[in-house]
Amino acid sequence: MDSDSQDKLARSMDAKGEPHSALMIDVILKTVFRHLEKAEDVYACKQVCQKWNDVIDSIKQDILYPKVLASVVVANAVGLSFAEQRETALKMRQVSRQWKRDTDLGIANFSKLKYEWNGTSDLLFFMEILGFNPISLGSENINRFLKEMELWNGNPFVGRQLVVTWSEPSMKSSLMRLLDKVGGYVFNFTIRGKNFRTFPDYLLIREILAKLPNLQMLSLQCECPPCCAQEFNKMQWNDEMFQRLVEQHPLKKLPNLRSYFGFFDWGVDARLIKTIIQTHKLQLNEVTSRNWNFPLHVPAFDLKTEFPKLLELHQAAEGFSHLSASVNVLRPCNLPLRELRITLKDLSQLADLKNLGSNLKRLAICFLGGTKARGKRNQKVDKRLGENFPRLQSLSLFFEKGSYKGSFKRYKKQFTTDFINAFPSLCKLELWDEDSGLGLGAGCYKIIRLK
Amino acid sequence: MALVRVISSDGAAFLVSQRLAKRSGKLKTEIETFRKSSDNSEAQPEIRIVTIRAEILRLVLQWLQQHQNDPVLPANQNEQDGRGDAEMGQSQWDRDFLAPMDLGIVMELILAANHLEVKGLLDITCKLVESKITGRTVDEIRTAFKLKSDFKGNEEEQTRLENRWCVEN
Repeated sequence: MDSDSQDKLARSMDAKGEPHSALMIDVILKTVFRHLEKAEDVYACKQVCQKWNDVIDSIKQDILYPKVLASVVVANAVGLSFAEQRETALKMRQVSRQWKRDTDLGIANFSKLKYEWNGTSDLLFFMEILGFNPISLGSENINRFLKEMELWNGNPFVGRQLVVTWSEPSMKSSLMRLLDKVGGYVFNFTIRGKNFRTFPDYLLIREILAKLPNLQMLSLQCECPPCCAQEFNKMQWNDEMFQRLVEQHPLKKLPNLRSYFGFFDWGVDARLIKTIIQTHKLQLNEVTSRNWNFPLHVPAFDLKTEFPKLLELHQAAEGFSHLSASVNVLRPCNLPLRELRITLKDLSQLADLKNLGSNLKRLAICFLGGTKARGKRNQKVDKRLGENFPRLQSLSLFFEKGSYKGSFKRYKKQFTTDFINAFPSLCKLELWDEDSGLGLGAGCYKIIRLK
Repeated sequence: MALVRVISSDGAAFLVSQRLAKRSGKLKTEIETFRKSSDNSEAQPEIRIVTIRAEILRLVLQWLQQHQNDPVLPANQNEQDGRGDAEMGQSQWDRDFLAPMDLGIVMELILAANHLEVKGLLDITCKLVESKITGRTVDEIRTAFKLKSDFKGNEEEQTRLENRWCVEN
């Protein structure tokens, strides 16, 4: 309750010391409205009745403006440069408590780490807006940071994003001290440069997660080559031993964890990944994996039964079978997915995904190269295909080398026309081919904006 | 001329041409859904917008009327380059349209434009509100938005220190 409201409430006490009910209601309503996180919710409350409308109007500058502005500034609807964005966002934090809270939330929601096929603008954005280079947060930085943090106890991570690069074993104590102090502020946590493949590694990640009670997104990244990862999996504990150890030392469930980002987790033992996901599978909305090297004896996930809340599934390239999210598995699923990135052998497989199509807004497909796929790019796109994807707005198609015959340019016209005709709801169509760039993200062939 | 009846949250009905209404992404979808589900191709669609009151809906329709011959901007225009197009899309008429409005109305217009998917209107309203912040001091922002600082104790100083950390590192 703000001090004005408290004063008014105190002044309005009647002889028995009871607050007048009308004012009491106002105070309660204001308190409730201040806790609404989305501008849309505040606006919807305005429509409920005249009373609610008047109460919200009386605190509109405080509660509605920062929510809208945080969205405007962070999503950059007004075309600010990065420096202007940062300056504006930081200034908004100084206006009032509510503005600070909403600005921080706006940035945190926006800066969720996501790998995008069409570039890394999100990543660049939150690095720039924080003015805080998360990649270099090694033990030395952590210690300096902790020293500076002795001065205050506020949220030092405007974007609630903490990325730690593991440089040496001795940094464990620094990291734990850091998390003891600020772990509660962190929504998105990434740890890079460390292999997690021994039991002490499991205990380390368990200890780290226990200090991140509000975590929403977790990413373990170790960019060792996939071939090494396979060796790791062969060398380490047997399944029975691992299972027993995990049962003795279970992970603490994080109630807000919604997203696991595993694009570069080759150096992480598959069973560790599986344990983390298994602990949170019923609540996960978003899973990203590229190439989990699950050994054959580690059972794959059953998407249909294990991820009832999954809204976004990102599988950028090879190795799909480890997630057991092949077309055969996805075909009978009715997951309410909004976004799907998937690897297909040919266009005909797209029709197999029609059960998933009703909510899908963004679809990215990587067409596999190799002998099985050869010669199948010549076929025309079925004109009725779009009927199963009525809300599809963005379609990205990436063609691996060998997934078509000859030069990709030959297919330019055909694909563009066919896909536009087949998907009338499309706003954006992207065509990529491996030949025109250095792999994913670099070989943008054509981007067409339709609406 | 095919018409559509658009009804605000407080029950006011606006009869507008379907051509005009379809310049809103949301209304376009609603009209097309109505067409698909209706047996009578002559039937007049009726769309209730439960989150927008009459005063705001009238302003949105007025803006659409003025801009009915403009090219329709894609909803994700800024996605690739991160730059807005509010400045290049803003005409003298837009400036005169927005000038008498207080910030509260502009804010409701932002939400309405966002809900109805009217990108051009969203751009100019966002730009107007954003201009009340960029290039101004914190005190000037408080004045523009009729706000008082409610930070307690050393919270304001602490926020400055947090910001300094973000900028310096």
